[in-house]
Amino acid sequence: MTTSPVSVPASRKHGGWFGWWRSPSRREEVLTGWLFVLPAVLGFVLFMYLNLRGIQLSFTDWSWISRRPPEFVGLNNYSLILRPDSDFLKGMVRTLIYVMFVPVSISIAFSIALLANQAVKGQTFFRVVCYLPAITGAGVLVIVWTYLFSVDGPVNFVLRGVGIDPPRWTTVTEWKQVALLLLIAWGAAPGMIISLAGLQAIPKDYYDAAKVDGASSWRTLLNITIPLMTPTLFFQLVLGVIGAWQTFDIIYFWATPGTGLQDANLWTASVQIYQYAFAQNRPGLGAAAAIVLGLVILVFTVINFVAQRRWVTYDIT
Amino acid sequence: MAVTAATTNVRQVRGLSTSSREWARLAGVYFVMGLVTIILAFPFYYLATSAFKPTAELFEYPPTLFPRSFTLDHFPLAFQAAPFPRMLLNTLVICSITVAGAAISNSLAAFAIARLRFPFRTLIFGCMLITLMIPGWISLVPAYVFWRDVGRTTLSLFGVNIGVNTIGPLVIPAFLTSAYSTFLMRQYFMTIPKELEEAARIDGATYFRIYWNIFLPLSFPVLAVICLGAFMASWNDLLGPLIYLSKPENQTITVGLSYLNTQHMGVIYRGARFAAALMAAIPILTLYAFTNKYLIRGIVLGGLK
Repeated sequence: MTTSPVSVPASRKHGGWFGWWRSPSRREEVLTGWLFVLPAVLGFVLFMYLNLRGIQLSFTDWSWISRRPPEFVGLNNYSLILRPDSDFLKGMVRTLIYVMFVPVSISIAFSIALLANQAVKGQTFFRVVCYLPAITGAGVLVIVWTYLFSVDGPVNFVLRGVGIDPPRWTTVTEWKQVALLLLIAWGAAPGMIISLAGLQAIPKDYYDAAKVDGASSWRTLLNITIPLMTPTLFFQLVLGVIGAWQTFDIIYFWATPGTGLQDANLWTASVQIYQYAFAQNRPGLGAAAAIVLGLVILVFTVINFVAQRRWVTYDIT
Repeated sequence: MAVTAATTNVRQVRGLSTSSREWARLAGVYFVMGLVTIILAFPFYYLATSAFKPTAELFEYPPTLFPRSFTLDHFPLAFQAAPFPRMLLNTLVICSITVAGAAISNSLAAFAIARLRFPFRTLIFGCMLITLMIPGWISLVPAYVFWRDVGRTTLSLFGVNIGVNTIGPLVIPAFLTSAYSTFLMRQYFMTIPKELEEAARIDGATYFRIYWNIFLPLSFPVLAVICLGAFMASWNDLLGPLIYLSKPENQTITVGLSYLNTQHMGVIYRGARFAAALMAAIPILTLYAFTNKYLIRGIVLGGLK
């Protein structure tokens, strides 16, 4: 709250809800305030309207081509997308791979942050390089990835060099999936900036005390750094899981006709939502699938917040 | 950012003097840092060199690490598949408007929420934060319906159509604030001393003048992060242009990359793909080259609070 200790709430100072109107200075403040937040309020109203409309549309059936208004079909869309063999449910299961990969990404970011926190020269340059994957869009990265992992590409060259018979990264679904996960692992490096901020917020006293006690660097990492980093790791986990459920861009470029590697067996839930809503011209199904995805994300977020009590340390004594 | 030695090995290892242990640690740190740097930077090097390698060299095995010959042939070929220069221009226009919208709307809202007292302020701020928790996919279909209907009505902005197939749906939301950016700016505004604005108020300055002459100039670090973030999000946005723009000549460069698709599977298109990807990457990487200081510092700032 910004209210300074001396100021009294507006409603009491001048009496009643509209007391602010009587003082020219307060009137200016209130009217300016409302004017400045007007875009935010409009944005919120539009956003809430669209979400409510999304719920309503998820119970309807129509197509973009016909001018026929959406027809109410009850829970029909939901029963279609929640059938055990539905494309959407398959997509949800595939998306789970990316959700379960989030801890790996966080570990990579954390390890790189430990490296970037060492007192050596060249750290600024190192951090700039680490953030590079976050700058470039999925389209560019997937094109590069396609050729990095092509039969005659550099990755296979290195693998053959160390005596490994390289798999067919760009033709076999499972190996395409692995190449994608490697892209995600590579793209996890920028997360080190958040981890680094967390590391640098740890009071130096803890390390001084550990030094006095003669603790090894390994023990210091296990007993001081990691426990004190759990709030940061938790923050990254919550946001990472929410983001992973919505994995779209890289799959769109990697597995829809975008790059020529199209493979419906790689489509995630959000790609399927896009397919329903636009490519297959069944917006009702897309709307229903989006609601299901939103609810699943909500459930996972709640689980994360409940489970944090078991592993997140807010103070060590 | 102060570099702090987080974990220094304090255990005395028998037979090794402190300086040689320190030397070993340094060597280890530099080795791993170098390895990570190579892994992270190599795809960019590979992209930048491959876009100029002749097709014959692109198919050589082993792949050439240092290109032997240089060609610009891939660019005209890429332009045949999609009008990339035009797409770059479109993207630049969309990004610029988005950045302006984000900078204006978020700083105004953040200033009001951080500094002005008015009824419903807390409620409005709370409502904004709620939107952070709802995934955008739920509003995908209704948003398309909304912008389609906006385009159908004559009720457009100053006689300009802002519905689907225009940049309206892509840039207008930027003017309606984004909760995360407003939150970030508000946190920053809260740290600016009150004395500054109180003095200005006594001199009879309006709140807009206080915002414009005091808060905006002081908030450069966070404003830079918000602008850069908005630019990058807009530049790399796939879903928005994909659904709202249909004509190739109106499309953005990000979606343009998918125009080199299954129809262009031929051998000669390998270089064209690299050329297209390079065109999409160069502007944003150039921007990053000049602004990475503000961006990384700002993210650390935002990540902390």
